[in-house]
Amino acid sequence: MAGFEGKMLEVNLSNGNINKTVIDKGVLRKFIGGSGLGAKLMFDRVDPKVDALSPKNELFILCGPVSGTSLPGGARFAVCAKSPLTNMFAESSCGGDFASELRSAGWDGIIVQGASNKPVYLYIEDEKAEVRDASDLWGKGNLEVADLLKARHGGREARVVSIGQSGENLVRYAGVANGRSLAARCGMGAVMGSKKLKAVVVKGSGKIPLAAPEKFSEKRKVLVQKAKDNIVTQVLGMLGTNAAVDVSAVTGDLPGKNWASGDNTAIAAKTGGPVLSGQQFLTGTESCFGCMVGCKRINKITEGPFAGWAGPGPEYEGVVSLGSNLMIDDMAAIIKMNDMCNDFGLDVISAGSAIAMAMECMERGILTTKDTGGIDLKWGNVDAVVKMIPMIARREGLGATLAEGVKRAAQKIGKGASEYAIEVKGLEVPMHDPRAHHGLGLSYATGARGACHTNDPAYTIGSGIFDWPELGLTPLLAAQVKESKVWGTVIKNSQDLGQIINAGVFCYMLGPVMNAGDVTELLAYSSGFDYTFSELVECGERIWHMKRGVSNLMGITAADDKLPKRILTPTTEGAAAGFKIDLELMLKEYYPARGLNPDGRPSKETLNRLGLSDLAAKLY
Amino acid sequence: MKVRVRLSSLLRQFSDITKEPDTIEVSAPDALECLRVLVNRFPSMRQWVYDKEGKLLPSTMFFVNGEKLLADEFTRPLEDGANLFVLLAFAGG
Repeated sequence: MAGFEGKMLEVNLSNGNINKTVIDKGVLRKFIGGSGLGAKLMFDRVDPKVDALSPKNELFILCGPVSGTSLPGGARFAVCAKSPLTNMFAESSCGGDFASELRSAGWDGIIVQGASNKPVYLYIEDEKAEVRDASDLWGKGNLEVADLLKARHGGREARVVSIGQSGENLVRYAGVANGRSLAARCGMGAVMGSKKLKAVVVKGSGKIPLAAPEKFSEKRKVLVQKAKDNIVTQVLGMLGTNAAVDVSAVTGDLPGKNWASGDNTAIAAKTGGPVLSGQQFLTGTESCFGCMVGCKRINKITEGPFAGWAGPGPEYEGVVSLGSNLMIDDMAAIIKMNDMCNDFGLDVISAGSAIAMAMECMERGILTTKDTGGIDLKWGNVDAVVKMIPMIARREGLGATLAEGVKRAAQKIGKGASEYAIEVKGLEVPMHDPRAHHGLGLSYATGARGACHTNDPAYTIGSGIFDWPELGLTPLLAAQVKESKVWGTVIKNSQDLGQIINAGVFCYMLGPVMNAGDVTELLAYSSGFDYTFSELVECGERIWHMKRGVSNLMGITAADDKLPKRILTPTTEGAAAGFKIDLELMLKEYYPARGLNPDGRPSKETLNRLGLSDLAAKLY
Repeated sequence: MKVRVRLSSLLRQFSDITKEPDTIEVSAPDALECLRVLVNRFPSMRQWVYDKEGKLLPSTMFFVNGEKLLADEFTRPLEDGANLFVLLAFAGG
């Protein structure tokens, strides 16, 4: 059967063995691909008690059936492993151009086992693969490494994923870069660094196999037209994801001052979409492979201390994490700091959150300049952040503490610092405030990888631009974002859909454009399985429970399904002022709808219904 | 009925009406009618708030005196002097 065949390149860096593994068709049908397949592989292959940074952890770089095709929003691939940040199942994904090349080389994924005793990179050219010395690349940033490797492997341009210095130094939130795009969350770059794997280079000359290429092509045309006609994708093209800053500021969704400030409209006015994409900073736009949306910004800085810089601009998350959450309203500085994080390979959400926590600790006298090496970490101080970012990446001074992530860092700092660590299950909370959308709070509390805005489309549902009536996910829900009573079943359904999207692997930005029929047909035409939407929803449910079960085996319980005290405390100003999240109420409805026992494990009945009796046997 | 209408910065930018005053006074009985009056005054707004058939896009949201209107409240009578905020709902990041 042509289509998504589950051909994995399996590399053992301890002994240099390279093998081809083909995933069983039944497994592919049930887990689709991407992070769905990642959860299944982790369950089958990784001891849940293993240290995330030990050679026994495995790293999975995985495509899905639509990965790398010319579908808009289809450039993404997933990176999965046990996380050194959360100590549970982790997934991260990014766009760019790697998935297309990997699949053109004939591979649907890479499994990395063991660890090398010296820096190496993996070179793949179609069926051939070999491990090469990377000593000369160690210590370099992502952008330089990609340039060097592309120059070294000339001819047809090679595609590269790599880690920056933060991955080498095992910063617990180091990401994996594909050029300017990062699979940023959960420390997948640290796992790669622990294996001394600096990069993967791939050159492919084949065609991506599709089960029904003509039908897929027709469907693609329909989707392209829908994307062109859709106002959300039009705005994405015009202003990038940062357009959301303006809306978030108005709805109370925009965090400020380490989540303590509810009204951040003044900073938003200086850092929003029209500013980043205005004449002062914008020189062009870019798309991932196959996409026509063009949501990526190309920026320049012409004035001030960073004048002369030019390169890839920030996304919404970077602008807010390094902007309003640090009380910084200097757009040029945010662009520069975001670029620093990308080059070092730092997850910009986690890095910004760690610095925000440190700033609050300084303000409250928990940290002093003695702890910071003289750096004045006060709100809005750009110079301090510019100094702090490399210190985190290199684990120098206070940077070594902040490199652990806010949960561990706060425990080390002590003196009540944990109150200012804004995280769920150890993962720093992304820059959308659940006080303005209570359902998002439930999604954060129960997300498969911790607090995450791409576990499922909860955030888009709250924005009123998501319409999947088959699952009860309609724009009308946006009217109830500041209530807690309606979200239990909604978030369960949203999570099931999220698993399909992340297994596909589709881009969330196309969520408002696609519908149930589109996703079903695209997955069927690409994979070769005659999926119905109801079967896919069952796959989504199965995948969610597999991720949850793996995390349960790694130690996660119901007690971990919580939100930070600060987010449970209403703000006193801004559009969400006074609205208190009732997480207990939401969990009371959510747990039975989700099929969880009160202790937080999937119920035996649920697992058996989904064909996960092997997981049940390990959990019970 | 005089209503004080503010448009979100995105909507103002897209419609190329950034030089208009922040608050525009409109005489209309409800939110939908306010929008219709504004679109007549600024036709460049049309593509951002209505689809090709003239149906309101789901991304168009209304807030009256800070309260978000539900879909079935778009024709609810507004009080004289009410503050209407028209937001282009957009998600990202």
